[in-house]
Amino acid sequence: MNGALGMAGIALGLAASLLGAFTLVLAAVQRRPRLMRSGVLYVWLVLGGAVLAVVAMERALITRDFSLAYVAEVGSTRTPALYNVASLWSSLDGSILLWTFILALYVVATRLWFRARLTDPLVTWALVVLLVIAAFFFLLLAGPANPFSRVSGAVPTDGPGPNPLLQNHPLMVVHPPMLYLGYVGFSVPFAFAIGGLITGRVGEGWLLDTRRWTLFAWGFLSVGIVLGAWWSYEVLGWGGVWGWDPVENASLLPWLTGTAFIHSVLVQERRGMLRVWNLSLLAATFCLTILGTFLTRSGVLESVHAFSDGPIGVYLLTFFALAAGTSIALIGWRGDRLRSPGTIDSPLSREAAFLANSALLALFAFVVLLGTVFPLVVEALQDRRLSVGRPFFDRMTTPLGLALLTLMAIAPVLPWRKASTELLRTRLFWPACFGVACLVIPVLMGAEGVAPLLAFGLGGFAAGSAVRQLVLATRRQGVRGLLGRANGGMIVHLGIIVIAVALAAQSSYQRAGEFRLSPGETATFGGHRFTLVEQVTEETDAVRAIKARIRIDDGVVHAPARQQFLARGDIIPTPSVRTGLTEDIYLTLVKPATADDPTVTFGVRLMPLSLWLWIGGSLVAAGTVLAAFPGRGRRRPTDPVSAPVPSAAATPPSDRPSDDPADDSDLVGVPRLGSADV
Amino acid sequence: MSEVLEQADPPAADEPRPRRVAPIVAIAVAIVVGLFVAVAAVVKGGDKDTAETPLLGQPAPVVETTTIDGSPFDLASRRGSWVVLNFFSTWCRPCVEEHPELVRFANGQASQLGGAELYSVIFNDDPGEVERFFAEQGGDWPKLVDPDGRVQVAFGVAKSPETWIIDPDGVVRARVISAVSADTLGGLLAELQAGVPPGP
Repeated sequence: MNGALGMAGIALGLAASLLGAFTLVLAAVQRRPRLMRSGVLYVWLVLGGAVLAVVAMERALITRDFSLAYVAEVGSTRTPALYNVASLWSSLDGSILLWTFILALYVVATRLWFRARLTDPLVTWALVVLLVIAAFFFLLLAGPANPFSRVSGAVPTDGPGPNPLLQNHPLMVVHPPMLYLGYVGFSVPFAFAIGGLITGRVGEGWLLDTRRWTLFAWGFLSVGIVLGAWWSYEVLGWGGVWGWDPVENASLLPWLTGTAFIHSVLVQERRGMLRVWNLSLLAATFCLTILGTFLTRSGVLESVHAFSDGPIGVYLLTFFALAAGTSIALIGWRGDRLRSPGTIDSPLSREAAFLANSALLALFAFVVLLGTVFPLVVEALQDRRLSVGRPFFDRMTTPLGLALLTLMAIAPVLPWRKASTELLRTRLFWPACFGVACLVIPVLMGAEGVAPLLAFGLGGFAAGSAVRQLVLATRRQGVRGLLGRANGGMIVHLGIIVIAVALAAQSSYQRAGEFRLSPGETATFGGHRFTLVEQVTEETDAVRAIKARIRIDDGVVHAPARQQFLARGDIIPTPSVRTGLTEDIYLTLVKPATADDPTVTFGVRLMPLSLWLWIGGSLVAAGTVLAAFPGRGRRRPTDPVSAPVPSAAATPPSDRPSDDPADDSDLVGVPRLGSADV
Repeated sequence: MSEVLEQADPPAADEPRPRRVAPIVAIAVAIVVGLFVAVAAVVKGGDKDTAETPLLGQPAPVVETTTIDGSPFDLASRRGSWVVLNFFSTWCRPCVEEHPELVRFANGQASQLGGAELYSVIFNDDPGEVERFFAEQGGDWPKLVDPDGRVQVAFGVAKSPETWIIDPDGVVRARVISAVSADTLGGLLAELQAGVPPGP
């Protein structure tokens, strides 16, 4: 029943996305507005199919329908309700289903957002691209990642439940959907970029149309990454937030290129430059989400996020080749018509800083990609496996991170076109003072190490710059001074700076020790006293937890544990963390007491500034939301100086397209072919 | 606000415009991406996933445990024979898919003089489940329990299945990550026995 329902949903979604894409292509090529409108109806069927499949799967999980292989694999009668619902995305097939569902939501949202412009070929082509992507994911669900296949043989009466690591912390319920909202969200700007290339309207129109979408996707991707880091910290027990694991890299890659895009796109909006670069970044962002999925879901790379391998790899690789090939061909075809009239006048200008930032982020992405796929290349050429470890990534990315912090300090004070050194000196004076203070104070407190101290100093410098901008804006506009892209962006900057400083502190000043105590004994480490109170065993029908109760500084008792999930037999460590403003105390149970050895071995890590990672993440999220609000009350900052103005008299500046893409319809009739340089 | 009012330079009309740069760049990028896709596609087919490990060429870690039916097992006492350790769990799909191949491998080894001894190390799984699985799917080699994960930690196994080859001197000679076929494993073992180093 659930299986039939789910398969019906997948079949409906696949048929609707294919028919919809076909109809819309026909309509766009033959320029038939009525067909465009009717083709758009298919997006509702796509959503209907996806909803049906998700509902069927959730129903199967909730009613414990073990006749479905997926439920038999990840379901269990002993899984708590919350994690049971989240089991949908705890393994490969279900996560593809979640991906498809979110994509269907995006397709419908796009259709609704642009409802006034459904006969606009740009929107039509964008919907075609989205429907093709949807068709591909429905195809995956129908074939290699079918979550509704039935178990072979007798129907089991119970299953092992999801991977214990995934039912150990509530963050696992929210982290994947956030991440997917980010990943999948980049499909929309990508679709518009392709639509713009196909229709030849490669000016700034499609950018303005999709800028909020990009921000939305970027915000969710950022939050998803931070939540993943937090989960790793709270659950995995190695005390780290980032391990350069392929799956982590797969989420970082599109984030890096996406970040590069939302910066360099400003140059295009303002000055009409960097068009090819922006299109390439957007295409790269989308392709990297697919490539990341391929790398981590096909089993070609070893990863702690072990999804079993299957035939899905071939599909994903083919789709990646298709997406990359189409993008490259279209950009190659249109590229020369995209040339912008302007040039960067001075290296001391905001556009130059944006370009440098963009290049650095792209280089960062390249380094991460290289480290991630290098084992593949070696394996292909030399027939052996190796893994590229932390040292490579740390060594390569530290200088890039520091360079980015420097740019974050200087770029926000630079004017467009050209700056004088005198201007810079005045504007950068206070931020630089703050940076020096952030460097000197830790040195006086005894901090050592070049890289972390540079990170503190540059972080302070950059924070000073961001705060300067916010202070100026709020002084001028009050609370409104926090709204808009420039100001919200500065809050995002502050969040990123806080994260960078906390990461630098963690990587250099973390201290770890291991102690073996009998009950009642006390150990001292890093100025704290740890007393082993007792070891207790707690057992429910799903989990047996061995906990070591450890009193910190004669205060609260913490209980790091080893939990054994009875259904699967897996033993996983569960750290216990005492959070503090400047330092977390991170306890892990290394070896519990046994019948013949009453001593308990536990690990202590003193993690500086951990809390600030999450505070930084919240700042990034808050800043993104603020940046999405239009900052009004002054001339629209998104008006490109070089935007083609069909007739200056007919379109006075106040009638320029407003910030809301839905009101953008006055641009529709404007021929933008080849844009300003035709 | 002066920067807003300035207009971009008008394109010079007499400048020879069309330089076809974009297609060339695009083709170059396409070649790089194409090569990468080719590499990724090639790698997909390979199942010779021998991995680097610091233990290669080193004495194998201590494995002192019991088999599933309670008899003691000590890896050190297996000196003199080639030993193959397979880390296995019933909940891992590749392990289950690999199983018939291991049965084939074990039969092949049993039929030859001085064949390797195969042991399954139970990896994060319930011994009862494993016993049931083996009863159904065949395979009569000893299953080693690893209740506190000591063996898996000693070998640095993070994900099943993994297969390790230990020579008669108790030295680790190969580590194969993910599922392996009987032919690959047999071939690798034969190479090692013949004294040929695996791979370049």
